[in-house]
Amino acid sequence: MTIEKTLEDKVLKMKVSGRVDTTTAPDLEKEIRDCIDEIEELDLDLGELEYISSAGLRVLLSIYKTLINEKQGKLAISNVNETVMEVFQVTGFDDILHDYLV
Amino acid sequence: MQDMKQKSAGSASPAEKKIVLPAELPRVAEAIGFVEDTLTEGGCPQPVVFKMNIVTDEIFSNICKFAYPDGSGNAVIRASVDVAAKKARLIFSDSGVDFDPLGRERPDTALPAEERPVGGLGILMVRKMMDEVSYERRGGENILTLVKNF
Repeated sequence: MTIEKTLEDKVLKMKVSGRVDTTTAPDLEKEIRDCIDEIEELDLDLGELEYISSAGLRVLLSIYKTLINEKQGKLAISNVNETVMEVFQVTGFDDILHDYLV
Repeated sequence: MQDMKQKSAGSASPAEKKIVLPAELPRVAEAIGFVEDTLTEGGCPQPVVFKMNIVTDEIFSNICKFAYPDGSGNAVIRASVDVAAKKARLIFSDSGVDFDPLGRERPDTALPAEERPVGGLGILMVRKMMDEVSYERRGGENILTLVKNF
């Protein structure tokens, strides 16, 4: 998994490439958590993400709870591929993230 | 001279590869690598390979976390592709505690984020993304067979 990120005006933009699974999910979480106090918005470009496992979903849920519920911030998740979308659908994450999938 | 065709005439099932790994989380990447390489080389289409990678992550991780509470043990993964029948198959086995992953409580996917518990997601994904899922306990082993059609 590789991450390209920029942080400007309290907006964190991240492009996540490869796969988010048990091995890589902790790194993804760390990259976001390291600056979560300074941000009001997270834009996740998943165009190059091949797939995500439940370990990755737990990270997304945890970040969602902090950013949306606790901080009343903004979230935008873009360019989700078919495999990732199927994962979201079978787990109900498409409903949880419904307003944030662009 | 030996008739080389004779070798494959009787084999109805495609070649199956097997790996034995210690059931430890740092080995997950290796488990996924084995599945990805075996299925890809066997002619399995990439979207199906990715789903098999996902279920490998889920099942192998569960074996690491739950199969051997009092010590350590191995996980065995068998992988095969039948291009003619358009099926990919994974068989996970371990000699740990009696554990049927399919018997667990199903997570309620209608619950909003705040009320979602953490567990159960992995098995839900396995059940929904595979075409056949079966478990048996035999000879002191847990054996989980997953089939995905393509």
